[in-house]
Amino acid sequence: MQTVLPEGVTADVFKQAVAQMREVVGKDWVFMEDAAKLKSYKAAYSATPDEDHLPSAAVAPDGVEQIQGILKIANDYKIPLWTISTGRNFAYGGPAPRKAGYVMLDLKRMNRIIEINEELAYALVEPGVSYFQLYEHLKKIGSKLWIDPAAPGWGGPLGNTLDHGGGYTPYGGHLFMQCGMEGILADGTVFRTGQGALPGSDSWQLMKYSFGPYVDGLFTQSNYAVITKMGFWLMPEPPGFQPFMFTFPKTDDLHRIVEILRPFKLNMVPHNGAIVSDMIWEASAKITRKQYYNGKGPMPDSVRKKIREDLDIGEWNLYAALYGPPELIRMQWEPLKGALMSIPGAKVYLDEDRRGDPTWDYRRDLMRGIPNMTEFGLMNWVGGGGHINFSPISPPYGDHALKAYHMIRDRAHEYGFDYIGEFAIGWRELIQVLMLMFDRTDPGQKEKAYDLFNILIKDFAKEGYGEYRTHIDFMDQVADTYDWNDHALLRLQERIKDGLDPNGILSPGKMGIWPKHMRKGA
Amino acid sequence: MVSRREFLRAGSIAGFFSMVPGGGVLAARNGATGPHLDYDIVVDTRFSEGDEFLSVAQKSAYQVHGVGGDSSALFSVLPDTFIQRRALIGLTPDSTLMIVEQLAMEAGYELNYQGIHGQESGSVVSHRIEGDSRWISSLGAGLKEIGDGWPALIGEFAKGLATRSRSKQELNLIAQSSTRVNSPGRLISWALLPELT
Repeated sequence: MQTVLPEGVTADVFKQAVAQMREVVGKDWVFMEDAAKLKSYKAAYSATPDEDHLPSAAVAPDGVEQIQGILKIANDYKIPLWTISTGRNFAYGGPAPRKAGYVMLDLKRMNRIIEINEELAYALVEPGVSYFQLYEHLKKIGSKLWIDPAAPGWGGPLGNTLDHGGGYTPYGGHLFMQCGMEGILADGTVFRTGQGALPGSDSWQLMKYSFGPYVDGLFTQSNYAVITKMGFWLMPEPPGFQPFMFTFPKTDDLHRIVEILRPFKLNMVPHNGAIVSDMIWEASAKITRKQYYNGKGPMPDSVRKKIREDLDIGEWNLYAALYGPPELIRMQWEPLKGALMSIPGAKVYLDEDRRGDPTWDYRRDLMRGIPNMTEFGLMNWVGGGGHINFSPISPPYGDHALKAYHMIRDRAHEYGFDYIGEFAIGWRELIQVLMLMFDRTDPGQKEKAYDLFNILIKDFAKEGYGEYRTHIDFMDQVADTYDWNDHALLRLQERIKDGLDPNGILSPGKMGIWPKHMRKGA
Repeated sequence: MVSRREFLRAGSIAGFFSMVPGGGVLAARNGATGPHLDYDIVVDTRFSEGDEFLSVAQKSAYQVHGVGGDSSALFSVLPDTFIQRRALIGLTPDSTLMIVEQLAMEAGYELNYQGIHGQESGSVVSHRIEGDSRWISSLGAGLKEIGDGWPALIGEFAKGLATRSRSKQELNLIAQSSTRVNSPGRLISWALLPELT
């Protein structure tokens, strides 16, 4: 029995629509049973009930023509679709749709690696390609190109890039390294961006900005099209690679770390994004909270000190790497090392110092493009699996970093959670990521996690800090904070939505962008 | 009606699995010399509880998958388990179950049994177990009785865990158990079974 339906669609109409979808993709590729059978699409680790995000059905097309057929049916019957590629980023909701009743447009079946160009170092892939798959493919063909996986690596490059995700090599700015895409608008029109719009061009994956307005960004973190192919650049294996780690003993050291790194980063040293992780993030690949502390609330300082000493880690732990000819690496390493070691109590480690340490090994592997799943160890810190990421942006100044850190840590402690976070220092931005961990089997913790997240959004907006992405449960709240000139940006996004998708069939509510008939007060 | 099994077997997820790395998995295959049995074991070999569980559970297992902190090694071996519709029985930290369960659900599996075992202060271990009402009380009574030997006891129940639950019941209990040196303090025992088609 069908237990959940798209809003405003009767069971009979829905049945008819699904029958037509079966004709388009074949009966084996449409799945519709009761809601419980669709549980693999649930937001398995969120702070809200599973029922809030259960889809009504799933359809898995195998190509552009089939997607066009599905879009036509969705338009005819006003069926909302929720598009996923691999659907693995559970900290932001995983595959789950924004609202219950949507039909999953599951693109995992479209997992073809269309082109690898070894000389020009790029790839063109479909949405279902995972980082593991791409990595194995490159190994199999003897390629000397590196990928830039997210952590953990069971996601894929297309979905991660569309969601403004990042990685750990010098190619870690995924949208920056993206070049050319193919998509399908709600009315079935297939388009290609950049040089892909020129028949016969061999430069589709070579030039990001081409003739006319640059539109690729419009199709990221949005609901304006279904993206079916994406090109992105791959990093040629460098002649040298030196990953490193610094540890710092005090929480306030964060200020100096950021002040020291800013001028280096503006000059592209280190070459990848520098990650500064807090003690618990660091420890969680090896230990659990229970091994050191069984009490409620945040861990006392004395316990933190013991963990630091036992694991030889800092309150802050900096990971980054240098790439290139060994002589160049040496020239850049010495001043960087000298500057960071000027912080009292700082220690430095290279690969030979920490090889075999699971935390070091997975970070090193990520920085050289080897996907893994080790970071999932974070889920064992408290157990129970609940986790959502809060990811505010600030300028890369020590004052901002410490302020933003204290804002999150103090609120987390107030709500009874440990602070588990890291800072990613890019060229000019500083992104803090709170991994809000809670036991999902404990209703009290779920409620507190939900409340904490909402209050953090408000706290940070008041100080001028916005989130760069967010979990499906908080998209409206975050979108609402970008309210300059009476939400002019959101109104622009809505006008684009109305123009491109008048029936509002594509991922309604994604990033707070709702079609006209589903907006507040409609 | 199309089942998730058919959906999966036709290739949707198999494509994802087919090209992922397999290095690092300990695989001991009983079925190679005898009749195929109906479940695989997934165990975290970093902890003594895992070894104790494995020493008993592996006797009747078709295959054993030992994992550590990086569960990606499982990606290359699970498709065979799913296609052959064998059950999966595990004693692991939360993270391994979360990964395996997600992949298993996509393959048409469901969680048939789960036990949360937490070391508490004062040499006490708590067990929260949920499984078939026909045998969950026996398991609970055994756990209460056996103290330190709980991982091996769950290993003994492995065949039962691989039997489809009719109606589930949850039990919460505590038992005496000394603290193990390298224990993570919390482990999950679990059974994933293919849904009926």
